Amino acid sequence: MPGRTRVHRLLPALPSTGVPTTVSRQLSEAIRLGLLAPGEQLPSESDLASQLGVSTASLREALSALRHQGLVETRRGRRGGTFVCGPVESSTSRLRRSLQQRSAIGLRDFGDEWAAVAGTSARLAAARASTAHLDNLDRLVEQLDRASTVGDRGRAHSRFFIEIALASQSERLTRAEVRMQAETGELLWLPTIEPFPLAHAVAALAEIAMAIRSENGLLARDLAESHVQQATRWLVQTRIAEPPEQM
Amino acid sequence: MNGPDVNAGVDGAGADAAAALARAANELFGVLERLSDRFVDVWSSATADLQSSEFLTSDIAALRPDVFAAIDANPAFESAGFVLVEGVVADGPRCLEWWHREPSGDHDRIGFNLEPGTPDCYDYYDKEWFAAAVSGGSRFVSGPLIDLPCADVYILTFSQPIAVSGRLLGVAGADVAVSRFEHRILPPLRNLPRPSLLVNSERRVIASNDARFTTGEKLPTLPGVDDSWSTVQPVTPDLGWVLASGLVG
Repeated sequence: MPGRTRVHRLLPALPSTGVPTTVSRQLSEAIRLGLLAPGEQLPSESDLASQLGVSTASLREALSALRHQGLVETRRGRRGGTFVCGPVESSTSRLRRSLQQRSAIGLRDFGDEWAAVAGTSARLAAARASTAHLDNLDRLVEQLDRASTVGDRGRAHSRFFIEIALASQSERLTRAEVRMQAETGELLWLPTIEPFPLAHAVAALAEIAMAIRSENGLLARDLAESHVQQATRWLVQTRIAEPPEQM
Repeated sequence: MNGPDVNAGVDGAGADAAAALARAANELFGVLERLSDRFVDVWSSATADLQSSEFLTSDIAALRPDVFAAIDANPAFESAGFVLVEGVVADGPRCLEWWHREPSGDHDRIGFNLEPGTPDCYDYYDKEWFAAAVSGGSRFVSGPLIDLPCADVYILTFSQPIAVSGRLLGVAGADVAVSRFEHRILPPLRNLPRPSLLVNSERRVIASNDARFTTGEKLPTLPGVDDSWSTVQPVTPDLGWVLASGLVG
C-alpha cells in the first residue's frame, strides 16, 4: 500500500480546470481507488500543499469541496486534523452517463493500452513479487469475491491490478496502471442486463495470482491480457448496446 | 448473398442499415463535393479570363473561409483541405493546403515539407486516398489508421476528386475522427444480428455491433468471397464498403 505521502506522484495529471478543482479531483480519485484508506489522516495542510505543489489557499478550497462531498472530515482539538471518511458510492446513473460519453473505439484503445500495462506488469511481477505482494493479491481476490456494491467491486478489482503493478517494481507501470484504473475502474461493475460476470472475474484473478506466485511469467501475462480483453469486450459491447437510463 | 435463411427479415433490416451507413458516408462526401465545386469556381476564374493568367498557391487563400466553415459545421472533421496534382499551381510543383481544428476552435494550417527527395518529405502521391482520386477519378476513404502527421488521431481520410472538364486537379479531403464518426455508423448496426460489421475493401472492420470484432481489426477473408457470412450487402460499391452479417459456423 503506497504511503499517503506519495499518493500524489502516482496520480494522473488532470485537465486544468483551476487548481482547487484539480486537487480535489485527484484526492477523490485516490479515495475512490482506496489508495487513501478510510480513517487515514491526511498530512497537515501546509505539508500536503507543498507535496502537491499548490498554495495552502488552493488546498483549503479543495478540502472544503471534499468535505462537502463527504469524502473527508476535519476534526478539531488535540487529535484533530483531516481524515478520510471513505469513498462515497458512485451513482449508477453517473457511471452510465460516463460510459455513454466514451466512444466504442476509445474503449477499445483503452483496452489495448491496459492489456499492455497489465500483461507486462504481471510478467514482471512473477519474477519480482515479494511475499507481501503475493498475500495481498490473494486477499484482494477474496475481497472481490465478497464485494457486493459497484464501488467495492471496482476497488477490489482495481487494487488487484495496481498491486500487480506495485509487485512489478516499476514506477512507470504503477503510474500507468493507476491511470487505467482511475479511468474505468468502476465502469466494469455497472449493473446492466448482462453484467460483467463476477464469478468469472474472481476465478480469472485467482489464476493470475497463482501464476505470479508460481513465478510463471508468461502464463501470468497471458492470463492478465486475456482477462483485460474480456473486460474490455464487455465495456465495448455495453457501450455499443447503449444501456437504457432505466434498468 | 445466399446464406441459409436463419433469420427472416434480416435482409430487409440489413438493406435499411446499409442505406443508413451509405448516407453517413455520403453526407461527409457532400461537404467535400461543395468544397471541390468552390475550388473549381476559384480556379476557373483565376485561369479563364486571360490566356496568360496563372493559378498560384496564394489563390487558394480565397477558399479558406469555405474550409473553415466545413470544419466548423462537421464536428467529426479533424482537419480538411485541398491537395493538388503537380503543375496545377504555377509556383508549384506540388501544393497541399490542409487545416486542422485546434481544441480552442481555432484553425491551424498544417505545414508539410513537399520537397521530393528530402528525408521528411510528405509524398502525397504515395497515399492511396490521393492516388485513387487523381488516377481513377473516384472518391475514396482510407483507414481507419493513426495519423501521425496530424496529431496522432485515429482517423478515416475521405477524398473527393476535383475535376474540371475531364481534367483532374486534385482532391478535396478531410480527416474524420473515428471516435466522432461512430455515432453515425453504430446506430444502424445496433438492431442487426450479432455480429454485423461494416468492412472496407482491405477487409478491415470500420464499425461493428459485436465487441469480438473491433474497429481496425482485419478479417481473415473479405466478406463475400466465401461462405463465412450469412449476408453480405454492398454499402457504397465505389468505396468498397460492405455490410457483413451473421457469422456462419
